[in-house]
Amino acid sequence: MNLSWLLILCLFSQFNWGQSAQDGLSIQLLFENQPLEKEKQYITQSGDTLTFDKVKFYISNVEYIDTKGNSTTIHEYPQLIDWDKPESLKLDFNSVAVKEGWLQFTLGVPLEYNTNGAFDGDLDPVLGMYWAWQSGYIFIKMEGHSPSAPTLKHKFQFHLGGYAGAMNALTQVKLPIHEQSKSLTVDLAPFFNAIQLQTTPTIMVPGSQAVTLSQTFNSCFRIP
Amino acid sequence: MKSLLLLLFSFLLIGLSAFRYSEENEYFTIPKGWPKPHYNFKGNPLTQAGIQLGRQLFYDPILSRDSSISCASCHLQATGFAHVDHELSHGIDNRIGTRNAMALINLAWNESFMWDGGINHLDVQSLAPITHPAEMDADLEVIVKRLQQSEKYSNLFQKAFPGKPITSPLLFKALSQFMVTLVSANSKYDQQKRGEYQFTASESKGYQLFQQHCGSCHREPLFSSSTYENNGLSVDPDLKDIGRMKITQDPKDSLRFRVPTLRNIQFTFPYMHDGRFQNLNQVIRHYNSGIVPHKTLSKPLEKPMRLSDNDRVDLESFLRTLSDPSFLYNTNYSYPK
Ligand code: HEC
Ligand code: HEC
Repeated sequence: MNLSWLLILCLFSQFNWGQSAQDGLSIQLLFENQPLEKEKQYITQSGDTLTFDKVKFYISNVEYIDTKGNSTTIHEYPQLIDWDKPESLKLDFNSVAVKEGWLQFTLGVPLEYNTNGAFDGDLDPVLGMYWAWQSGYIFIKMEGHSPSAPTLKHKFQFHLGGYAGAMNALTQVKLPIHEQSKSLTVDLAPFFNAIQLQTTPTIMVPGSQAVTLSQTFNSCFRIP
Repeated sequence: MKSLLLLLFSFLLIGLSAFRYSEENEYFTIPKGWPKPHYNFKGNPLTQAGIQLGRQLFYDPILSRDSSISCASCHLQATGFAHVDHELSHGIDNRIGTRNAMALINLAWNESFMWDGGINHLDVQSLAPITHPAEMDADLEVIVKRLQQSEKYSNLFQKAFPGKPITSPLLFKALSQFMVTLVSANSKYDQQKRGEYQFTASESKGYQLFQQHCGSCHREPLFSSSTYENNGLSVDPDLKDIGRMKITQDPKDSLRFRVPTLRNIQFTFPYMHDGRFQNLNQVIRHYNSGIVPHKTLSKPLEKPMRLSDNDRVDLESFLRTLSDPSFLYNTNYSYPK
């Protein structure tokens, strides 16, 4: 009899009876605290004028860690955040009761998904986040235009990723969160303030530059 | 309580039977004495419907943007699925034009793909030829839509992957199912190993020379290895292909390429990553007297081979024993009717 009680208990523990104040965070893309807009010109501290076409990136292994240090998984499978898809701009808590503590996630796509073929859902290669000539997912993709970029049509392109050895561009983000938190912001200004599009207009392959820039992108996240 | 235990037990049994799937089944057998394949069959169990779907796709130009070329345009069965014509194909990234199309033979044993090993899994290999990097986002999506709208492919996918919508991972899995069945293991060399054929004196001498000079890289029985070696080719000043270093960005990997298979080598010309040699005679001359010294030149090639004219003839006749007509003319691999 004990066993079946255990089973029933297990089943019930899947449901969340507590009422959480929030069921998720909205994800807001910003440039210097202002909502990111298509075709709007932005100026960086390094003097570049730029407009954005695409901003896409993956977050995976999302966890809530309470003040005692206990962690609860919110979701593991990589989620693609895509500026062009409003429905993707939300981090669902999946019934995890989030109170005072930390939100932690991996910026990028963990190793196992980069070495075992193609995956579906948010990892489907039709979404344009898989490198063709070299295996692996692109973790962060930002594209746009800037007169400073000495490229064809003054395009800048950052396709950041890489999972192997010293080229591993995966990073962890850990932010304080509380019951009233409503949004996760990604302010792109620190990223573009840290580089010069004249000298670094495109990074399209894994390597040390991609690793450094992924770390810079990592510093763009806040929970206000 | 009893019934619950019984239920749990039966679930366990069902679970176990599902996991009993091994590499070998009626569509894929490991030739005697060969190592275990590297391909993960558990992640993509072979079925007749899956293999046939892959075969249809392999021969169908529907996978190219302008419906002009198929995989088979560059990978022809009669030449070991390599490309005899060396010209640039239309509508595909010029990157393809900078490398010689590879033979598709015994791919289930490959640990990596492409001349530089940049691709780590057969299921993502097809992305490279199908997509155009500059417009990648659009292309693959268009092709998947095209397949979804095709009545023929809706049916074939339904048979191969029942209850699942057509997606790109399933497209790749179907292509892989066909490609892993491309097994060549019935050449004169294999027959000799099985005691069904006797090498001629020249072939036998050639085999010895091969084992002495070539076998450390082109390892039996696959005649390839997953290591990256510099086999002493001069650098083409236009292509400047740095090989493996392009992937690892490690100078130690400069001018190293994956060691390709030599099975059916008689038919897979032109040779090397850039197709610089037209025939085996030129290849053997290269190894014998054309090795270009370089920091990353592989050890076994540092000492000159000093092959006599006769040695070179014998070596070439051995290489021809790797030809497998039952592979090159296998109707299971040919254009589907
Ligand atoms: C325009 C010519 C062309 C077309 C079309 C083409 N390939 Fe290839 N294929 C190549 C070239 C060139 C290489 C080697 C590329 C490299 O190393 O950079 C190659 C390599 C491969 C390999 C790697 C083999 C190995 O041993 O590593 C596989 C597998 C393959 N192609 C499958 C396909 C499939 C499947 C298709 C159709 C979806 C296809 N190819 C279409 C030219 C082509
Ligand atoms: C040090 C390792 C090594 C040794 C020893 C070696 N090879 Fe190779 N071989 C390679 C590599 C690597 C390539 C691919 C090189 C490239 O394309 O840049 C290759 C390519 C070839 C090719 C062309 C295959 C194709 O599909 O285009 C042939 C044929 C060949 N080798 C024959 C031989 C013979 C015969 C010998 C002995 C005389 C030999 N090799 C010894 C490493 C080696």
